[in-house]
Amino acid sequence: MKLIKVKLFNFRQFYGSQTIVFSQDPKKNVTLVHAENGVGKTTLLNAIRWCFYGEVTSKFEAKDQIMNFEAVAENSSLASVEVTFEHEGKTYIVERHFSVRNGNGSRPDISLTAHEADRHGQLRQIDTPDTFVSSVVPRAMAKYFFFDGEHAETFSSETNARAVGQAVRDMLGCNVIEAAIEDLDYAAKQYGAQLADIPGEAQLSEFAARIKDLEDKLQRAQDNAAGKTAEKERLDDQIQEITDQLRDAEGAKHIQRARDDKERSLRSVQDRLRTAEQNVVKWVGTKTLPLVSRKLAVETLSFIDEESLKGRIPSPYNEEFVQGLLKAEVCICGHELKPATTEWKSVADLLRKASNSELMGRVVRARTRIGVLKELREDVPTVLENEQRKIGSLVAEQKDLEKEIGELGNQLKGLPLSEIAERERAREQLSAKRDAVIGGLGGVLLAVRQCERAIRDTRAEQDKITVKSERAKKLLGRREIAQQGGDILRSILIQHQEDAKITIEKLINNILEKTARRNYKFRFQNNFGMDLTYADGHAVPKSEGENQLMSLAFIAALVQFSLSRTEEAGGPFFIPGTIAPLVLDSPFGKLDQKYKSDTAHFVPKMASQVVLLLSSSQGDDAVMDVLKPFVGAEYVLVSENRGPRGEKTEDELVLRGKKIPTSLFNQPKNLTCIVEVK
Amino acid sequence: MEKQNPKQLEELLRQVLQIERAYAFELKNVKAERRGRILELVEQFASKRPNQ
Repeated sequence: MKLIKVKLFNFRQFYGSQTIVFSQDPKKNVTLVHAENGVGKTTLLNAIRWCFYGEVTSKFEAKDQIMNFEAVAENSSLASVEVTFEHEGKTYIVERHFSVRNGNGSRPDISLTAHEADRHGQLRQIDTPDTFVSSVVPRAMAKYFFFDGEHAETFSSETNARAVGQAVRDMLGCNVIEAAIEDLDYAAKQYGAQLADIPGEAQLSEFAARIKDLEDKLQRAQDNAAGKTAEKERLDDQIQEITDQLRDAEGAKHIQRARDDKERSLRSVQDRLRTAEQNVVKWVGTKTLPLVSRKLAVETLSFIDEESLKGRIPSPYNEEFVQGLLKAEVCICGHELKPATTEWKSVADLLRKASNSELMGRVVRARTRIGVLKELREDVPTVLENEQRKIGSLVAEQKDLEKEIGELGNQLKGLPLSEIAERERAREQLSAKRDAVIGGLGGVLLAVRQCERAIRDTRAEQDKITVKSERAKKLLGRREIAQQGGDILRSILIQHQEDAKITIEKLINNILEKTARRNYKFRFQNNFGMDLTYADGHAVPKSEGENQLMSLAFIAALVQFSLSRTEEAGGPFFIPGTIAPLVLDSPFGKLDQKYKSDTAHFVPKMASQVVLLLSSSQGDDAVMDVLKPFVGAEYVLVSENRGPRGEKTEDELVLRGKKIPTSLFNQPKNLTCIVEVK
Repeated sequence: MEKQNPKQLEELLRQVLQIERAYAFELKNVKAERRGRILELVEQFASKRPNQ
């Protein structure tokens, strides 16, 4: 998909009809829109999202105020956003209308239309515009293509794991397979419930009733878990807000930054600890055979050796050879072997010790296998000792970090600045509440797992009952089909998520390698949290620009990942990725001068079409020098104001050698005007 | 309970996913309709198999 133009009509601060035509040149793929804060950059980004999906970014203020105030004052009742784009060789026009009837107070009518335009400009209406738009850029993926960089911290903050995990799942196009799992589970449940009502199958009904109780219990536990998760997230947000305040507060910032660093290290240690513990469990499950079979291996080997010495294994005689002599009735020495004679019996007696080729093969295989077990046994104590040593040192590191974090908290509480101390106390209380919720959540999640296991076990027990009724057999068969289908899809989903995590991790590291000035290592934690460390393994402090860079690299990696996810790559299980323009609002966030320039080199390569919304501090001379060769279209949002300038400074931009005022006063209306820079 | 033939089950899942895809971009609440079609598919699949 490629954007051609966007036309705004009475949308927010954009009065009347105003248009931006985007660059279509693949070599100059960047469209730049300059605007000072509050003039309309974020509105422009949201205009596209609102047009396509009827939604705006989460932090967009006064979401419901769509109509321009000047237009409202003139009794105008219509606002709209029209986006023209090209997709798979065809041109489409999508328009969302907002209209108010009967003045203020009534609910507005909001509708979407979509048309395909042929080469002669003839329009053909598309019957299901919402479905059409979602098929071009799926709604779940859209928020990463139309991205508000000012809030990039959503990904790099301490409580980011959920948002990051969701972003990866969204880009993986999981909703098809997730819905299939949900529907197959539902089908299994439905068939199970019908088993309760079959006449003459009392035992079956009893099991069905037990399963129904367990399913109800599971539902309650899942609801409870969802409630506790939401509460934890709410507390996380509150803690995050106080932490941000402390990070910016004079007198506290150095302590808070030190705590950020320690907390980041703590999370990294905890993650490594979990991995090491999982390794031990995995190792015990797969590698302990040599350890427990030590005695068996020794005894078996000595048995084989003893029997070999006795001349039985391997035997000096081959069974087939002895049988041949008896059949021919001639001994190897040439004597005749008449059946039932002493000589014949002596030769026949050899069969007791004779072996055949199959037996010999088995002995050789057993010997080799036991030999391998014996060799593996030598490594067993070393491997386990190493893992345990690692766990021991990580636990010690964890304790030290917790102590240091506690001390930093005490320092904040002890500061003579009452406001800061108060904030820290509030943070401590919220943290205690959150710990309690996390504790409760752990119990609830355990209950969920127990219920799931109990349902599975009870169903397996139910399957063992001998049923007479044909209907019962049918229902059990259908339930099994649905259940097995759901299980297969679940394992496919887990595998794909893990693969996606690895791919995106690699992409982010590649991007950081090209843009960051130091050697960083990016890593996903098990729960999708994002870790950025220096080469020496120490965590990069959150407040630094590197984390802004990491968030930007994450978005770029998501876009690249989407590109690579073709129809074939996802198979029937996942919605393929999409090729869409990248619209970035304030992508350089808190980056310093050097990083801004380095990142500006990289931004045009992030997608085949890039729209950058920049303030003058974001798009300074150094950034503009880097971007210049890639800019195919350029606009300025000019703020027009009714009132006089007064004491305000004169804002202007110098673009392509021309001075362009960005705010005008004593104008007939308050509005934002889109001005093309030519 | 017997294990299903993996190839046949794979075919069923392919059809299930086709239905899910058809509804993937639908914004209206189509859950009941979608689930009805999945139940129908399982029925058809089971009835083609002996003793089911």
